Order: sequence, then structure tokens, then C-alpha cells
Amino acid sequence: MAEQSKPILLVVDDDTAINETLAEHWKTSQIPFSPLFVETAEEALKVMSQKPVGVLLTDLHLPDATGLFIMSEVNRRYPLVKIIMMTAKPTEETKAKALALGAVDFLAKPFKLDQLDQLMRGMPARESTGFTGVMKSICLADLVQLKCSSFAQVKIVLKGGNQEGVLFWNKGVMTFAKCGDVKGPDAFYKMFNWTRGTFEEFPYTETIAPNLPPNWEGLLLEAAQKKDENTIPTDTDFSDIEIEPSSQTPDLKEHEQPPAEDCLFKLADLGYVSGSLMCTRSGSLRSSNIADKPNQAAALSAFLTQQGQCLAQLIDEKSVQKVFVRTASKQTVVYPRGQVLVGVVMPSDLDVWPVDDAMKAAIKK
Amino acid sequence: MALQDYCNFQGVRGAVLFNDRGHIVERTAGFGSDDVVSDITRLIASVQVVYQRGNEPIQDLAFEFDSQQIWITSTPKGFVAVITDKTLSLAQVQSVVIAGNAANS
Repeated sequence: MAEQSKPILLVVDDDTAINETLAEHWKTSQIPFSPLFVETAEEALKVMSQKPVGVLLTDLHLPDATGLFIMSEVNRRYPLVKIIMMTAKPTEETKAKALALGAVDFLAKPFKLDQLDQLMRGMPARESTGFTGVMKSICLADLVQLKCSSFAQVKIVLKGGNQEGVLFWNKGVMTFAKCGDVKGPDAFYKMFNWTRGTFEEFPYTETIAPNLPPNWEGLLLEAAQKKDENTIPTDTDFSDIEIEPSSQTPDLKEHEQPPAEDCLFKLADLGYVSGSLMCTRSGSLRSSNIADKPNQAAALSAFLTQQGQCLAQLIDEKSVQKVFVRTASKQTVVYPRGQVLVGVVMPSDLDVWPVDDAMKAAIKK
Repeated sequence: MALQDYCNFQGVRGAVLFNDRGHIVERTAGFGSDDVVSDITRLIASVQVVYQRGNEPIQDLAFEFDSQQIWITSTPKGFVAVITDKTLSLAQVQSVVIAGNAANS
């Protein structure tokens, strides 16, 4: 296999001796991956945002994060990437956590290079994973959400009658739309109005300048409203309603402050909190204390970051002080704190409000 | 319970009923600025997005702003958004919505 056509094996370890040993070893020993070496979680995530990594081999203790953190982050952003954890201080607890988070193997240092090679050769290729099939009767809104949620890097050609359009996604961000001679949002609105058609997905290879706003949800909603306006009567005009300016004095200090770094531990001490995590408004999971329930952590992280993105896009970021979400199985309170969202999960039968002040105090720096 | 009846609770500034497309079906007077209406419309749309993407349906979604609070709940008639000032806690807003929903069911 030509070196450049191999999927990438990304090794993350701040121990340069390990990296040099592996690099030297793989010059002569054949594995079905092209190795790349970085020393921090930040560098690893940067590489992964730019290159198609197939396997991640990460140390448990990195200078800027734990291996478990990078695992949960990679699971969320790149679910097809296989992860192998390695550590010089293995414990049963850490191993169980890593495997529960989806690691395909756990290596205790020092390990034999042949053992690692064997593991690499048995690793299924990245391209062989995933489902293939045919979806019918889905609307463009479904398709957009699917691609934006999956960090897709694809081009989709849409055909409606004798018209044809194209949409590009770059790592889950819908960047470009064109329909005939029309480009940008108007092209998207035009395609959104088609009631039926077909689509075909192609690999994204071109370099193309974006012509869509980054807020795809806003674009989708605008398109839906435009479509509605064409098909249903206009809403009642409320322009004659008297405007009543607020007389309250805003108090923005609390939610502008970043949270305490150890707030997740403090929240866990409260007893009634079943899980908590911190993510940025832009959608990156920073830390979570529900690592023993990886599915719940992943689902909550995804949910909160969607919330965070929705909020950031919809409302002046600084004005929202609290978000409360209730579903049948749980209640979640999201406290915006500076550029960070702190999500606290509680059982559905708990009365949240008496404990609200205690939770705010735990988060406070 | 009519939408106007939500406003009989102390601290409630107004209520809005939206259809499932995020369009205003009914709105009480004294609701606040059109900017607020615009925000609520976008929030309703946000709820729809989250409904579609979440793992389980959301029953209630509440936002606390600097000077007001908004509680959005799904009812058989559509989405009802209740806007209150900060003299009420979110817990009290919740009880208003529960009372309203009970009257509607």
C-alpha cells in the first residue's frame, strides 16, 4: 500500500523516547497505517481536524489533558476512529474506564513492539466501517441535520425535476450552496422548496470558498419560514402592540464569570447530582464526571453542545443566565458561565429549585 | 384555560401560543417589545430543532434572562410560551404553566 494512501495512525505521547522508538521501528516494520506523532491533546485534535486519522494511540497522561478526556472528545467528534490507550501506570479501574469509553485495547508500558504491530495489523481499516444503504422519503432538512451532526466532509448533488443543485459540508459545517446560477443562501432556499427529488453523495475534494453563514440551524429555519410563507396565510400583524421596555436592571456579573475549575467535583459532592460536565459555547466538551457511564456522557455532551450552539446563535450570549430542560428521564440545568456552559443532570423526580442556589455556589469561582 | 388566563397570575407579563411551524397563533396584550416576540419565535424554532435531534422528547424548556423568564411547554394546542418578570422564580413559573396545562387538558 502506498504510504500516502494509508490511513493515519496518530500517536499522542509526551515521552519523546517512545515516539522516537516507534518511529524508528515502523521504518522497517510494515503496518497498514502511516504513523504521525504529537505530544499533546491539543495537537492531536488539531491534526484530527485536518487529516483522516484511522487509529489513535494515546498515552493516559498528557501534559494538557487526560487520555480519557481525549477519548471522549474523539468519540464525540470522530466516532469512526479506533482508539488504543497506553500507560506506564495501569490500573484495573483505568483500564475498565478506557474500555467502557470504547478503547479497542489497553496497553501497559513497556510493551513489546511486535505486540503493537500485531494489534495494528488486525485493526479493521477505517474505510470498512459504517453502514451503507438507501434512504427514501426524507426531506432536505433531515439530510442537512444528518450531515451537520456527523462531521461530514462531503458534497451532495441534489436533483429536483430538471433542476440540479449542490451542497458542500466541511467537517459538519454546511459551507456552500449552488443551484443553477443562484449561489449562497438563496440557492439553499430554492432547493428547500423542492417537494421531491434525489440526492447523491460524493467525496469532498475541491477547495471552495464558503458562501453560506456558519449558523446552519438559522439557515434551515429561515428556509422553513420562507417555505411556509409561500404556502400558508401570513400571521396576524402585531405591529400596533405597545412596546414596554424593561424596568429591571440587568445583573450580568454572575454568568459572565468563568466557572471554578473544580466545580464538577463540588457538584458531585452535592449528592443529588447524577452527572455534570463542562463544554464551551462553540461545542467542545471540556470535562465530564460521568465517565463511568460513557453512553450517558456522550449523549449529554452532544445534547448540551447543541443547546450551547443554539443559544449562542439565537440570543445575545450574555443575557441568558440559566436554561432548564426536562425530559421524561432526567432534568438538566445549564448554567452559562463566560464562554463555558456547565450542565448539571438530576433525576426527573427531584425538585430542582430548592437546590438551585447550592449548585450555583458549587460552580462559582 | 384561555391564553389570557395565564396573565392572571401575578408576575406574568404575557403568553404566546405558537403552532408547530413556530408561527404565532395567539398573543396576549402587554406582552413586551417586538424584540422579545422575535426572540421567542426563534426559541420556539430552537425547541423544534432540539426536539428533532435529541434522544428523547423535551417536555419543558425554560430560559432565564437578565430581566425576565420564559417557560416553553408543549401542549395539545401547540407551544405555549409564558413570559414573566423576575419577581417570580422559575419554580413559580413552572407552577403557573402546570396550572395552565391542567386547565387545558
